[in-house]
Amino acid sequence: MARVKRFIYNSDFLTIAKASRQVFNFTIPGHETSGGSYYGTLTQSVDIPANSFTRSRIKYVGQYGTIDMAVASYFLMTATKNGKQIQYFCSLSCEDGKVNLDYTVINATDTTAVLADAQTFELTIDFLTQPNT
Amino acid sequence: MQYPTHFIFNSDYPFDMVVYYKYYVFTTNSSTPQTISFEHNLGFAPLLFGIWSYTEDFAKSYPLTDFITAGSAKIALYVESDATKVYITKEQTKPTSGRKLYVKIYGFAPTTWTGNCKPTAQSSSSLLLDTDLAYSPLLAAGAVNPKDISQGGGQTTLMGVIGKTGYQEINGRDNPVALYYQEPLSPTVILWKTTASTGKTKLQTNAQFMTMGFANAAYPTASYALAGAQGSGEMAIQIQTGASRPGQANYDDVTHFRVYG
Repeated sequence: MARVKRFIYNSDFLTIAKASRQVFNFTIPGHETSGGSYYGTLTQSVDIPANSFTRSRIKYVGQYGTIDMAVASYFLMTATKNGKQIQYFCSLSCEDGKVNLDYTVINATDTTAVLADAQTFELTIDFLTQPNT
Repeated sequence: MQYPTHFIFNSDYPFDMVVYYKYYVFTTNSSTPQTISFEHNLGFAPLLFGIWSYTEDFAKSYPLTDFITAGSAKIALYVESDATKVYITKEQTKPTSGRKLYVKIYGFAPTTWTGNCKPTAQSSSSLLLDTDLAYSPLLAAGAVNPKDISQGGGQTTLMGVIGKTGYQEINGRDNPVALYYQEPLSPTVILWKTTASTGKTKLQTNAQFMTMGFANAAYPTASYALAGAQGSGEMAIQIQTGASRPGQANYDDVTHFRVYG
């Protein structure tokens, strides 16, 4: 090994494993923000253990231009509709064999009902786990 | 080894070292927010992340986040650290008492920490590397302060080439940070922010703002951009940590980043 000094692994410490990397397209459905908000869950199958968490890259191409950025297990998008600010809160939760995108959509301007637009984006997700804990 | 190609071990790049691990059972009360804290005894503020679950077997795992997005239960649970303590905070739109939330907290050391850490591997019988799983090489990590706008032009961009010549560590003041790479490498990024005024460090949402909205400068972001000609596959990750000038509250804020292959 030519560069043995770079061999950095220390068995005194736990490390994080990558159970899978997958690319998914998600569409948060459009709906009326009755009572100010609506929520739901989008589910995709993936070979991961329940004890998983994520780091992701989001790509969005749409009416607000192009977005290509890192996101954690949760992220926020904002948009406008009929002069109201619409916020899309997204969070990734993991189960054995599937990932869920839990979303909540709110009218952040007031409590009137607004027909929020659907939002479609691509997520490249690293599924991580710590197999010893 | 079921999938030999999945076993990725490259001596040019370090693996994540989890220097802090805590399993905690959080019992809710009727307060919101509800914060508990305990000592971590590390000597520095760890970069924390992790999961929580309604059940002890973690059949469904939620991220530790201050976004209340966990379906109809509408609970948010998140962690922060400072130099001495870990803080776990619960927020809930309809607080309930006596509910148990099971939490697994992991922590990395910031690149600015050069001292020792106590082992987190509990037993020599534990299999620390599982050959059925891949391990992401750490391409780059660093800790950067907001851009100093009082300096005007001429500040040096913090930059590096990742994925070619081994692990890159970048510490300094942002102007901004640019990490160049060549596709098909497809790195992922995690960010934390230390807020100088509170001394607390927290995983960042990397919130995106499609339109007008919130105080954008409050959030560091990491964006992917084409760095060469269209189709060349030359890409860059740009990490933006905001702007400041001496005397402002956020001047000594720190954005911690870790980039994985």
